[in-house]
Amino acid sequence: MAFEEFKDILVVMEVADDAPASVSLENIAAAKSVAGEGKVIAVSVGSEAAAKTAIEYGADCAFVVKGAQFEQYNADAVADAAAQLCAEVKAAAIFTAATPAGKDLVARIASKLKTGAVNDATGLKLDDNGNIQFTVPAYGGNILTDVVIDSVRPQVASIRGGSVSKLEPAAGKAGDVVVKDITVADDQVRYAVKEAVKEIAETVNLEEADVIVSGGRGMGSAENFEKLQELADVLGGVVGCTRPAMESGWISRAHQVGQSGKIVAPKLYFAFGISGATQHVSGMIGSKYIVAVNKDEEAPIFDVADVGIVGNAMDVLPVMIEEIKKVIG
Amino acid sequence: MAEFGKVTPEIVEAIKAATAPNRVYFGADIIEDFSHDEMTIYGKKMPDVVVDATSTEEVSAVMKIAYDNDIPVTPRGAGTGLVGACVPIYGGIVINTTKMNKIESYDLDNFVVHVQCGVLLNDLAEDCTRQGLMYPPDPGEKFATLGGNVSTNAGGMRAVKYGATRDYVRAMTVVLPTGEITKFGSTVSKTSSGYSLLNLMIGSEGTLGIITELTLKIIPAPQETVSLVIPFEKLSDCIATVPKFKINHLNPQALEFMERAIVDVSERYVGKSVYPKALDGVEAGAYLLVTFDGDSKEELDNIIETASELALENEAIDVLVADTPAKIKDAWAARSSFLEAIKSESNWKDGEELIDECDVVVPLNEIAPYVEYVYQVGDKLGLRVESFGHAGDGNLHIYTIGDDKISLADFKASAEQFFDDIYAEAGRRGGLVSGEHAIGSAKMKYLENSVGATQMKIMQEIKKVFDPKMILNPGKVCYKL
Amino acid sequence: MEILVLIKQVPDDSVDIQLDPSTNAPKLDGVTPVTNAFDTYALEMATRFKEANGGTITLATIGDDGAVSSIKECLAVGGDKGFLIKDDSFADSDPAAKGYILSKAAAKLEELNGAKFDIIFAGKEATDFSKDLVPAYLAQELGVPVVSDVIAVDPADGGLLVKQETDTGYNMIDVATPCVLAIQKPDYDPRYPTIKNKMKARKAQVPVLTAADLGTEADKVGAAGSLTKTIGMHAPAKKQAGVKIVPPADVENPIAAATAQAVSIMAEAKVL
Repeated sequence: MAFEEFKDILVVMEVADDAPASVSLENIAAAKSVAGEGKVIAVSVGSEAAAKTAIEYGADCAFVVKGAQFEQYNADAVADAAAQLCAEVKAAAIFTAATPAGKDLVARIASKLKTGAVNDATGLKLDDNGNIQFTVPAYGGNILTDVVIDSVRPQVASIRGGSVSKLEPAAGKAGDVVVKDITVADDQVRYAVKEAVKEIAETVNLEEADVIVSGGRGMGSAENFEKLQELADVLGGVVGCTRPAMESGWISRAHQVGQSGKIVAPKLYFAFGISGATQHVSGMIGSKYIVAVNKDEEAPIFDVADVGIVGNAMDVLPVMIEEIKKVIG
Repeated sequence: MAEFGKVTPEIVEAIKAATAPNRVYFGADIIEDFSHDEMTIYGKKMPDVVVDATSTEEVSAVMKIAYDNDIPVTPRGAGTGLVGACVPIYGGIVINTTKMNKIESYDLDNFVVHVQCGVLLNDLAEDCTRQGLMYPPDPGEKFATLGGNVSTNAGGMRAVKYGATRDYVRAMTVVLPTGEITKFGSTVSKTSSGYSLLNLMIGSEGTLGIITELTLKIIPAPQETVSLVIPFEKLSDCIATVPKFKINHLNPQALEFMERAIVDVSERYVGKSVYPKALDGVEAGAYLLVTFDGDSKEELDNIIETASELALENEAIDVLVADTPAKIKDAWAARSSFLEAIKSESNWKDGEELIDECDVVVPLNEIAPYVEYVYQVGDKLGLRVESFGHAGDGNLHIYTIGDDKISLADFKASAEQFFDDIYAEAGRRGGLVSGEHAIGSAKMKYLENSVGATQMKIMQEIKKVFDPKMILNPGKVCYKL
Repeated sequence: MEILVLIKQVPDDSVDIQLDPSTNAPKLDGVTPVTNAFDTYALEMATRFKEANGGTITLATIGDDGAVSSIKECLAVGGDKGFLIKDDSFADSDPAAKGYILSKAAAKLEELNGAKFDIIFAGKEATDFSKDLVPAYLAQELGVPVVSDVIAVDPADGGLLVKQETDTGYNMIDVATPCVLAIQKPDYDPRYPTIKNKMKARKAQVPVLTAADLGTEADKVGAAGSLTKTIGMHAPAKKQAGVKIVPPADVENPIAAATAQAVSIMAEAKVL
């Protein structure tokens, strides 16, 4: 089926402190890769600054959604606004981030527009028929499925962070920022957020952490362990440790990874000053990606690491924190 | 008492030449792990040299160097022992076997598997499951090596139905203290061919020879399993139910009991409810955790109905059924976490953990009164005591942990008094020192009390025959230097 | 309160499912079918709600005869009655089509129960093909509210007070009934069935509802009614051998160089 009049792609951004989330900027790049001659239109709820940033990162233009109904985030209101915009521009597709909020929006937008939806795509490309072919993990990521929406428009999808790289920002790039005053019919907002609560996690949830930054004996001291927390904070992760580090009193048992600690399988595991003895490795070998730093070139940890640096943990750690901050922006 | 040789730089070079330079660790390169096992309270001692061996030939070559130079050698697997058996009390060489971790081959005509000694129990278990097979021994510590399991005749939760490790060892390749390589046993199951040196090796805790390869019996995996969590108000009713299973032709694969106290500890550790603590308005004081296996869901449905009737007739408050993979996993994860949960509430003084334990065996009908006795002794001494155990074979795990006010020395003294008392009591009731954790260095005096001087002498003489220079894992099991 | 809990039977999610290269389909031989974990959380939450506030729980699943075992499992831990929604025409339905089928099923079950549902509980996603979509499509068909990522629910004036998990904490949400709640894992586990409940469930009848019973239209179900199409499956790329970086001796700052290289490798691997 040909959808010649459906060309542009909307990207509904997650915005915090007037800036788009990194994953939303990635979504722009993703949209650019499949938009062809269509425009990529970033959608920001409330923030002009974020809209401008979006343009720097590749959006052709941006909409800033305004209205009393958007003062406090409500997924029904935002989904309805997005649906209205889809209809207005005859969107070929609309993307969000594959966060809980983003996936929720996809479901609401697609069901409202009676169109197809894809959640948690990790890749996308245009097929020969002008449809986007999405790669979607199944069975916990062990199998990848190829999914298309070829009979309706818009193609509604959420894209996982880290799937597509952001474009290089071009400061001062031209692009219109248009304010859209949108009214959502009362009967389309079907629940009310009474209270939004921010919590700080007290417990160390190693098993559910996506990123674990662990230290071993090679860290040398308790103060040095605090530096690991800095890297963990940058990556939204949790600090782990080996048994020797714990026994030296540098960090509590709650952080211990290994045979007599917790078994973990995060997406990203850092092993600083950890030799890689079986007792520890058996606890983290399920990690999807392992980064190791150890001053002993023959340390067994390098046998299981995807990338390793031969060096003193405390020498590498501060440099790595800065380098990673640069990458994730 | 033998004077041991020293590890000189020349000897280190010889060891490197016999293995590989990057697998030999000397001095400051040796990580602290090698000075102890899982129970640091039984003492630590750093070896002079650690060698990561990768083959029987390498173990033999290193052993020969040691023999020629009178240097003590301690074999070591994953270091998860609980009685200090792999602590190199006299320094010398530690031969680390964890790199010998290949599952060599399965022989499905004879239902055995050939493995290197450093294969982790967990890895063999998973590999077997993938092929519809089962290696029945299932000790609690899944990340121990099979060599270690065999050296302690490890038991575990399936022992009540399937027996202990001993029943599954057909053959082994052993490096004797002289460096000579020999093979005990064979693939066949029946044998009456001379003294069973194979069985002497099993449970000998690395003091008679170093096991490098094993031929282990495996069985087809049962098709279906189901677990029951059975809460009782009283421990005595809980234990009294146990023999009823066998009499009624119910053959549980695993049968564990636990008291309410340890379930509370576990809950605090995992941070959420582990088993219901009250049902129908009655508070649970003790639980049985039972697993049955069988060939079909129908077979199991009948078994659990019968088992439930039995339990309810014996004052069970209710019977909870775990028959989905998720719930079976939950039920047993709780049980597997007990040691960690207890350790999470222990305290550390002067770099040592204030925790001590024993795994006495008492006859089934003695379990309930014995456990009561144990708590009384603990109370008298002001020690905190936690216990749980394999109800099916009377093997109890009793732990004592020190609070944050007691000093290391006081704790050790009180713990010694405590265990002296309860070991003696176990003996009086017809029990034995260790069901499965073995003796190491930690439990030697209890062994002597338990088996008597004659048997200790026989064991020492046997040791001398295997190890004339007394260099292999000295100071363990049956003799002090 | 009349409660509907929707469940899906999926392969045991504690098993690593691999693609069979010869059929390009998942290898499911010997994998135990289980009730989708998120649906077990939904049922446990619904059961606790029922115990606190009264009511009945109806269970329903779209599946084949094998799915009856999951219904029976659920009848032993809080479900009061269960139904199998089965029809050849329902095969290959995507979330949009499933939403439609379930909306017709809800209407039919209300007819059979003689009462309207106040709350429809569903797990937020399935562990095989996790899409986070069916609850929203269902709610849209029914014209009722849907709240996602629910971790607690209590009755309140005019409806429910629902706790929704967010990335940084939680929201407290007012929603009117009837509504659909998509359930995220709360901080408690589903209960163990008691032997009595198990035996009762074993004997329970699970009626079948067909396309004819539901009055579904042929072009809205199955492949015909699906708006997304899965056109293929493949295995993810295999893990390469790791890279070990030795800081180069010939630069001014070897550690900085080695670290920068490592981080760029990490960035390329998309792990940051």
